[in-house]
Amino acid sequence: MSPTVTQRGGRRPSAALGALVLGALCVTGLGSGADAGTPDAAEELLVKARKTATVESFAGVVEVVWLDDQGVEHVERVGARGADGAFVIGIGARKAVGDENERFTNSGDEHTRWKGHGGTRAPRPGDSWDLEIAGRRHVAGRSATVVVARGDDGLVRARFAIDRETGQLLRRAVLDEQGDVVRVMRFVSIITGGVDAPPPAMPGDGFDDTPVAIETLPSGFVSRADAGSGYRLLGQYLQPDGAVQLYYSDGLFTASVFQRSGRLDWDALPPGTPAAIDGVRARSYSMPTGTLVVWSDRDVVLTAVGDGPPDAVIGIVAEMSGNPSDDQSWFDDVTDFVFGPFDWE
Amino acid sequence: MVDGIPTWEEVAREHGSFLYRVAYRLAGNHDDAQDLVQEALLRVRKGLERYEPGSLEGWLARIVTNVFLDDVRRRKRRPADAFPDDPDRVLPESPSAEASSSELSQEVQDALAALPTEFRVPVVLCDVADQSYEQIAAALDIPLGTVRSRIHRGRRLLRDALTDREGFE
Amino acid sequence: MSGTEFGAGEMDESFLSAYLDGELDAVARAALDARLAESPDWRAELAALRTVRDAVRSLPLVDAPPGFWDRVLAPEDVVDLAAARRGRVWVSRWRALAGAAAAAAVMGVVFVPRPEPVQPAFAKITQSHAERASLGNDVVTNLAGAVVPVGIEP
Repeated sequence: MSPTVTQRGGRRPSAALGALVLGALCVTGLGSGADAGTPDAAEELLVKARKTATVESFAGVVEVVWLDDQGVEHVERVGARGADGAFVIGIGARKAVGDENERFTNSGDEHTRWKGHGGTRAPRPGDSWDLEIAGRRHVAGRSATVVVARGDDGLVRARFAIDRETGQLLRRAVLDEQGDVVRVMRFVSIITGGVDAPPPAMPGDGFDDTPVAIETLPSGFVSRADAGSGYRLLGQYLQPDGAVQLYYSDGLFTASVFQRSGRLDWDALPPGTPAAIDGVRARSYSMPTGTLVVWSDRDVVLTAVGDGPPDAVIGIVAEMSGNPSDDQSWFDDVTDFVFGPFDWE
Repeated sequence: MVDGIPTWEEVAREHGSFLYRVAYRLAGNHDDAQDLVQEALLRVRKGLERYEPGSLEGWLARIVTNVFLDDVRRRKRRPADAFPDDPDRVLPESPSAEASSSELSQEVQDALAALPTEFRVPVVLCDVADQSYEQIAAALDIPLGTVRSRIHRGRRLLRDALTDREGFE
Repeated sequence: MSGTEFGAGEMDESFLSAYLDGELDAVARAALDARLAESPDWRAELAALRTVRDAVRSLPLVDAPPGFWDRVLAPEDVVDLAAARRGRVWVSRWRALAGAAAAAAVMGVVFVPRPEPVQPAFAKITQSHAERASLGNDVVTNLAGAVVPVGIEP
């Protein structure tokens, strides 16, 4: 197995995403005509928007736009509906349903479930980001307040559009460190109020495969209270398949690091984008939910996934991977180098 | 930003949308608006050393207006809009009020684009670029009274063009 | 704008636009207020002008076509430092491996027992994270991406 150096480079957003970037420029340039919102007001809007979709009734179509690892733009649409605290997103075999404390998701071949979370409270959105109300725009025919989040360098890294009438989040765009939009979730149509609650679709109690909160990690796994730039550990969980999940939030975005005993078979992974993160061999994937990065540390396979800007997830990986030169044992290095070219293990 | 003077990239990133908005309302189409913005940014790049911290948008409005007027004088206008609008804005949206609002906007834009240049420029500078009469007078090098009368005549022409529209008045 | 260059009786209708735009000084404004109070025609004209002005001012924000700002801001001579950093890391890593290989050659072939291979289940991982994230966050933006087809499962 020989390491492959493939770097991202020269990726430009395609037409629609390019236009979304312009939206960011448009927001930053609103100038004197825009609302002069305070950071506190911006934060309050975001905090309220966390819960609105499970409080207000709504029905609409959500568009998910993301760039894959080849820079190809993907657009998918799903229905979403919520009332009386219950919601359903998607349809048929691809569907997420839930209520205030429970989630069940089926993406076709896989299903997952959560009951409560037993974790600690998330940080405030303004803890790690400079927030600003940057004007208004129409989303799905509704007037929305635009909130932008800037990093320490002053660059806009996320843009949120929040319904002025209900406070519901109508649009979320995430930008990379070049200022290009990499992922967008947005309503393309929505009605609010007067929507019936979706029928209950949770599996019965016999369906016992929910992760459980744990205080102490099994031997061989590692945890950090803080990771990346401002991410704080909010919970540790043991998955039904034995994997450990560490859940982080920086108040605006979230990330999880999954760990599982075993040896990572690099050749069996989908192509993705081979990369090295501070000397650690990794492979990253751009997904509709966010950025996913896989790497290994001796006999543990680690996977980080986060919905923030890609570099934020990479920052978590860099911190979690710890020792830059120690992602494989010395013997692994030797065997990889000697036998890698012959693809023999 | 150094000593209150932004870099060219900062101007483009932070004020590009303002520049484009003014350029589009002056030119009436995306093709010409892009040319105007690119030329204006070139002039911004060359002229940043002479920029005195103050109303940056006023300065930008003045530059893009001069580019536009130079272009008009050279009569090198290109064919109209060849680019689609931002797809984010043309996705089907549910409420019919939006369609009506969009229709009205297009009529206003069409009427604005049909105004003679001498009236369109001060109207755009006043109502799109949010410039004072004094700033407009300085930008166009015309007396204050001329600014007032051109804005007024421009608005009356717009009113005449739009009066027939049902529900406008 | 000063209205004192004209007497109140000399005002023409162009002052209505200046009035709307707040461009008259106190004297001219008072004179125009008096004129408006006595003239229904001027009041109607003012209302019509206000409608037109508001229509122009409320025109939607116009964005440049896709790709325009990319071209304008294209970094022609900017080095991707992150990529360069990764490149250097790999170079140094290969040098280390080369040294290790030389040592291995001296020692002969080495047998290294290895643990069982595992593959991360991308769908489960992204779903589970999205579900956890949606507990306490917006459910739509967190879960919509988890139910759309991705097509990169191992």
